[in-house]
Amino acid sequence: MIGLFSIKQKQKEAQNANGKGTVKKQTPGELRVQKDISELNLAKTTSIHFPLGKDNLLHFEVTIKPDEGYYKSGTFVFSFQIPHVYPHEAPKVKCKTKVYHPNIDLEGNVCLNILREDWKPVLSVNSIIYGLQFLFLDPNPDDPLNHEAAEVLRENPRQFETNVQRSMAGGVVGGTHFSRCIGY
Amino acid sequence: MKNRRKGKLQKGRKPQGDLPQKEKEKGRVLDREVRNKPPHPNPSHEQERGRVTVVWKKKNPNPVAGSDGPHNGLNSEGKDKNKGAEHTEKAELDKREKAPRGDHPQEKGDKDVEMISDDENGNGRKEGGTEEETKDEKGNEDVEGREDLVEEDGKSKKQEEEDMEVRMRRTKNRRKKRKKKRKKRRKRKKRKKKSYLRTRKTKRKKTEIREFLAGTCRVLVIGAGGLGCELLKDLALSGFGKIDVIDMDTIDVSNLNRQFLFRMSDVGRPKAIVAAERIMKRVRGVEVTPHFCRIEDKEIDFYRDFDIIVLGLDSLEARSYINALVCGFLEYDADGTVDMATIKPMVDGGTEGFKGHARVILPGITPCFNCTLWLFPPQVTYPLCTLAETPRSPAHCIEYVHLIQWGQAILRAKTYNISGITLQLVQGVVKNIIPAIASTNAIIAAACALETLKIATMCSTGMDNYMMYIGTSGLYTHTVSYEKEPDCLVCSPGVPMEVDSSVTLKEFIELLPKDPRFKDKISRPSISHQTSNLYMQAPPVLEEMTRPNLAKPLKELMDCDEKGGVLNINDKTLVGVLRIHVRFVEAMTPAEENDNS
Repeated sequence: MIGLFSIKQKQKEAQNANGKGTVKKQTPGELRVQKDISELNLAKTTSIHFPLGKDNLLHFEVTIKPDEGYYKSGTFVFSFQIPHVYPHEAPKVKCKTKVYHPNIDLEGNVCLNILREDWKPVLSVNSIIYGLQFLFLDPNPDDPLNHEAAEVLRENPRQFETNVQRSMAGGVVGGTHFSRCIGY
Repeated sequence: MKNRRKGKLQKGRKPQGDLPQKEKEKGRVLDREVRNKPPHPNPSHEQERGRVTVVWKKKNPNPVAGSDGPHNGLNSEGKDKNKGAEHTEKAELDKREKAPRGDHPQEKGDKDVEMISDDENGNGRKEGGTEEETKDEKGNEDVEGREDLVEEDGKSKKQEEEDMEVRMRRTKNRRKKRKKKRKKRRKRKKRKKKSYLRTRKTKRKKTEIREFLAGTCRVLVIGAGGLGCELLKDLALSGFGKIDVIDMDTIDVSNLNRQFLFRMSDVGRPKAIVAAERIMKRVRGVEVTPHFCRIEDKEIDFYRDFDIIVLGLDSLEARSYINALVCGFLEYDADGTVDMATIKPMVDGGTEGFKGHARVILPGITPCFNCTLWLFPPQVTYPLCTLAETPRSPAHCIEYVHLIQWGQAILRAKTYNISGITLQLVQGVVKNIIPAIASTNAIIAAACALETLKIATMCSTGMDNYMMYIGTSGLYTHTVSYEKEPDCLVCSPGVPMEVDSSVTLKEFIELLPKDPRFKDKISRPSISHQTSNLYMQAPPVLEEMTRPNLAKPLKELMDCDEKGGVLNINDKTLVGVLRIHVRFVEAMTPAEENDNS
């Protein structure tokens, strides 16, 4: 090893003489998310964009416009933050649009099993987007994050539907003001 | 008693394997005699042995044989030989019986002294033999059994037994002393021999290693916490003279129970700086350079300067970061073998309660951290809705505040005019804090320090390559040789490929599916290099953004030196990311070709 170290020393000196710069590499997380994104299979209802440019794939936004269900024709933006140890850890997903939904709270936290307890490294960004789409098609009142909305959906689905329409149109539901997200 | 003695004797006989079988059979007296003789300082030991044998032979017809065992005298086998002995014994017995009780010890004591001069043990045994014989003979002769005599005999027996023990102890002690002396002498001899062997060359090598450790070899210890403190101490005391330590934390009261370099008065000060101070104070001649910052804050070249990096970290992220960085130093030859000079050995330690691991990472040779990422348990997470609506455990409540009401912490701080709620602080407060056990740290750090020493001095084979330790029940360790992931995203060399240096990205993409190695594996590749995405097939947004690159020459896009570099290829038909090690070849233009011809 001593011999090896001395060889290294010489190399280092040679390198310094060359003035070779250092190489910054993509983290495994970046590489993996790059794969995920290049293989994205987006439905017509969803779109993705990268606010930080083509070289930063760790942060992006996904827009979902459901074409059926309670939330038809609404526009909902989700921000994705991919951790460096992805896919060992799930991406952090927040809903940027204030939405009246049993599984999304008013701060934008999303209750989706594959985002937390059921996350597995074999899942991908694609599966999360599917999961989000599913949330809009079939809100789950039995496992709620927004308790009031869930109760309304359970007790009176009609009322829930009108509530959703009012919230998307920029009205007030249950004392909370929602911004308009229809007709973009 | 008898059996034990026999056992001992047999053991003692070992060194005398050179004796003829006959003599061995004849009696153990010889053995004992030799053993009891002080070892002769001069080399003519054999000679002496020989002499002893002679002595024994002379003595043989004498009653010594009785020492073969108390009953031998009465056994039919030995009867003929030992008749004489029997007689003398009887005579002695009579004498003793006649003599007052009190005289016995005196008499024996005298005898003892006498015996030392020639063969005390034999005699000692004989004495013992006679005593038991006494009993036997009593049974035979005094069948009527005069009561008073029997009583007296019982008492005397007791006494005699006591005396026996005393004597035995004495002889034992003497034996031990002699043994020790012999051992010492042997050692002295050995030492003399060794000093002959020690030549100047080995001496010089020794000092060379010491100097290398103290002056040339630079070690970086990452983390100055529980493991870090132990590591610094171990390394400094192992002879490493140039140690750097990097840690972004400050000392907390809760650290003091195990992070022994810190005192109450240090609370709040940077760990790295205090640790460096303490080590330099306690270990003479060691230079510890502290770095109070995050590992990400240091230039990559900072890490390049060290010979060995020792990790005492507590997080997956930090380990991954350092691992990727160190693997980034690797350079490969044309045939994909690692350039040995670019390998930076890492020693990683980790503890969690009673459990811990120590591992040696030689990037490019042994599995890197990323190759064995699956070793880490999945993170414990709870469904958000459970936290919000149906919490069932204390952990749920804590996680709720941490995750959902986190925004309110900032508001609260604002209303009370408190500043300084930073992500770092929150992580420190809410971080998953596992009970840290000082001895686990000590064990793991010791293993790491040892491996570091081995790597630096090559004094022994290093660990291969992962040692796990569990201290919950007993002290269980297991060393496993994990295997390198052949296409690890971090440490694999990539498939070598020679490419014309004038080729454009578009041409390169068209080239890939034509290569037989990638046939049926690549159809629509997305390509990235270092931190930039050169071309993405999907989604349309990115495709549009990267489209301009297609017309540019690959070499320009890679912005690297003449040699080439690693491209990461993504394709739907690929299972993982494919790494291609591109090597640029200067193609000759037709004009040049003409010139040459």
